[in-house]
Amino acid sequence: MEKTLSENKTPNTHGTKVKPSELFAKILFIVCACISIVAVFGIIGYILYGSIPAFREIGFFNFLFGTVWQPTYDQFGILPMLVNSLIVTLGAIIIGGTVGVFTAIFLAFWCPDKFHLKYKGKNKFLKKCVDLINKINLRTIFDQIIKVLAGIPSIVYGLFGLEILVSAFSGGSPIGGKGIMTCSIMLAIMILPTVTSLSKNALDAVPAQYYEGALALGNTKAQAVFRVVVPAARSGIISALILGVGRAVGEAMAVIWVSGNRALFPTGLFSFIRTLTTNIVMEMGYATNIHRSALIATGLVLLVLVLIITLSMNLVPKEFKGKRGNKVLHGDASAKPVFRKKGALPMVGAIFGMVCAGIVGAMLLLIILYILISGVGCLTADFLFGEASINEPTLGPALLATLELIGITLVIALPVGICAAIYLNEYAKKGSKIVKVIRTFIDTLSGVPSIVFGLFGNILFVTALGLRASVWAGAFTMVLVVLPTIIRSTEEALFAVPMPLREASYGLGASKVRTIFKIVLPSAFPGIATASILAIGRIIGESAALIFTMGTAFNFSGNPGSAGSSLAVLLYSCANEGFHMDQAYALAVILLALTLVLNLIVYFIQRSVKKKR
Amino acid sequence: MNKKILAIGVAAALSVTAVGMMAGCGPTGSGEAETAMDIVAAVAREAGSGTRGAFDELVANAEGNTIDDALEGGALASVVSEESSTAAVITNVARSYGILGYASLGSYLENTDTVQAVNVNGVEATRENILSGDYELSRPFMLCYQNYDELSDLAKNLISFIESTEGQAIVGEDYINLPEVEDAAGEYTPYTGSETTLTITGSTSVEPLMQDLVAAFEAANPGNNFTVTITGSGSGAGIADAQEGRNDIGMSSRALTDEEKETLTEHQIATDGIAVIVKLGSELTNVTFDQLYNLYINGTPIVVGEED
Repeated sequence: MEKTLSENKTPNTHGTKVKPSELFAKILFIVCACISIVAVFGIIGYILYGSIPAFREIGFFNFLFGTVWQPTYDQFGILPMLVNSLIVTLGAIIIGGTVGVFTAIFLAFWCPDKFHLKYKGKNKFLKKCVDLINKINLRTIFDQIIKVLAGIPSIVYGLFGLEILVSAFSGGSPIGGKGIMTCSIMLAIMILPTVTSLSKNALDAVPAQYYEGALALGNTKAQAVFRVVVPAARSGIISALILGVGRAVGEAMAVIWVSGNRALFPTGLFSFIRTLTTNIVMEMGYATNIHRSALIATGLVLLVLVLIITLSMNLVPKEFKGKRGNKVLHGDASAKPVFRKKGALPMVGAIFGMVCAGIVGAMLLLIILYILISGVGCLTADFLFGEASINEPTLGPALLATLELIGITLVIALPVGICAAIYLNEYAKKGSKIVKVIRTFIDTLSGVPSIVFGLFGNILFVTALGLRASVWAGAFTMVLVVLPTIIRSTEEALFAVPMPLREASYGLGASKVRTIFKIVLPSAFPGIATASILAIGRIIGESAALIFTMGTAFNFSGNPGSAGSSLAVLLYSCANEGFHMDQAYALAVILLALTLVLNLIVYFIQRSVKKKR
Repeated sequence: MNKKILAIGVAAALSVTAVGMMAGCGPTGSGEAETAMDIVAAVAREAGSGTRGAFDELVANAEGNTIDDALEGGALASVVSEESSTAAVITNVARSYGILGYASLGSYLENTDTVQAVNVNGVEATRENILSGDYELSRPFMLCYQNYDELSDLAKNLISFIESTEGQAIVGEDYINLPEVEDAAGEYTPYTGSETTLTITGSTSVEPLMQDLVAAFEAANPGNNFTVTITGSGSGAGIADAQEGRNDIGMSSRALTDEEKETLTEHQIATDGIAVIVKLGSELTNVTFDQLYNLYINGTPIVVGEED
């Protein structure tokens, strides 16, 4: 592309001397870019520090390979939970990965844009209806479905899992229904959006010539897709699966409802199990001294597991893509041509893709229906507009606390994230080692499970810095959670700004910093807005990272120095003691509605940008 | 292919309207089952929870071994699941007539539309029976702080409110008053001090009671300019917070250990019963400690209809 021509060459408009303001700006950008490195080391450091008492007292090997977890009797062995976490994740990736990848293939190649219904009758109303249906863009709707699935808070999935999945699997029997099978399916549903959207991106990135070339050689559509395009997108698909694995390992709030939570080795598909994440969530509130330290050490094991997964993602070679694709093409050409009118296997794959897409659609429908049926009747005026009190949860204080949380988080995270993205896209040399290192750390940070962020925030902000459970502590923790999202989406937005715009600005004598602030950033504004909205979505849906940092109080004074509940945390605390289940279901409806609204805003921003171009 | 998609769409639209008509409030009921079904599975709380601690300590088999004794070197039966909250216990019990669980009496009383309590050793879980000691499953609700004299005036005033006639009436709604406190309860004197914030953290079991108490406390001080924050983070966290000065008052749903008492003062404000619960409509009316012990430790089913 033309981008490579002038990329990263600082224009020499001021002779050889670099203005101090330019230098200052550059240093600022570098510092911001390095914050994610500091954050990752900080998290590892503090969690390690918190784990040391446990390792010293229990012994590292006794802890890691001990088979009995009985904190009341000072027995801390996490091997059963480690094994359970691995098995459940494997199950989730087999089910969710397959369905996700095939759904992506269906969306990329077979999903029709629109319904093509024909109506020959004379009823005007029916004709209008049919016209209206024909106008619906199917692909867009499916994209939105996947985004909504991604935005539903974990805790809502948990309620859904208990009341729908567990009941379905137990078949009326009091025992059973919970365990490896249910957890795997639950997590499969939760990683579906990640796997599907990233796989689809990978498939879309394969040059059209591959597909067209394959068709020109006489392949059927199914053959072209499964024998040429999918292998060419292999590295992207593998990355999507690895990211899915990371999410499955780190999920806590949903698993707690469907696993039975016994720290035992699995004896069957439906025996009660406990995973590493749920171990922390279950016992953190009651733990003191060595028990607390053992739970932090559980977080450390989890963190190491996630680090291994994220780093292995970096081992998937990026150049692999093209080579592999070419090989397939060359291979086909050099080998003795075998003509088959119909490749049975690809066709099966195509149909399977359709089935998977159907499953995804049905799943979302089921979850939304479940939430609406349980919750719409609970949206009482008292709850929505009632005055806040300390013993009756109402929407007001939680909304205020959530808004403050979003405000403080974004005020810190947006400038830092944007500056980091500016460094990565405008200053750093493509492919340089620093960029690679920074990227790796950003990916690592985005892979850290929420519950580990919660532990870290609790140790550093709540305890060490003495902020107590407060909106401040919650917001500081959330800054780290949303930073990778902001950096990555802003970077994409900056990358999309055409190079000639910058060149024209340089040509007119503007400095690099001036160009960035006057030309590049304004052009990238819609992308940055999208980044903020994605971040807001993440903050609204987050619960595990906030419970131990922001508290669970029903009332909120408005002062960010005091504890308050965000909407998702309020849902958690309403459901917790069983006093306020109606309010919990009502909150689930509200969170779902917010997810939909945020997705729609993103959609319209992106559409308006597309129209402009 | 388009027809297929159309079919899927139509089916989806139909199901939306069908289920939409049934929209109501709360979870949808699971399928009907035998109300006389034997109890074959049980739900426990997680280790460290105040409710679990009291249950394990009190429930003993015919030989006098408690669940606590059995757990030293042993484990709960494989038919027992562990849940992290009262709500999860109640939701799970309400799924089937074959499951039994236990929960704070106060929480149970708020959920009588889905679960019912059974008698334990032939005694009903009532206030009188818990006070007289006939109903054996109960535990204390505690406040804890480093030193009463060093408490802020606001904290002292709240405690005096809890122990006034008005405060004791609130405690008595879902929980059991301490007789000596209730008898001595008198008029409450509204707060006149200057402190404006009070932070209370700890047991999630005590939290609902504390929320009711503080709501009334605020109402009893019209035009007040103080803010009380209550965070349910678990007994252990509440105690640790009190030790390290991160709160003004800690809440605990168990008595403090001797080690904890070295640095903290405990202050009981109520007694809470632990209700043994089954799904609403179950024909099980009574369980013995021996049956509970055997269900939780050995997984022995409780046969409904055989109880005396």
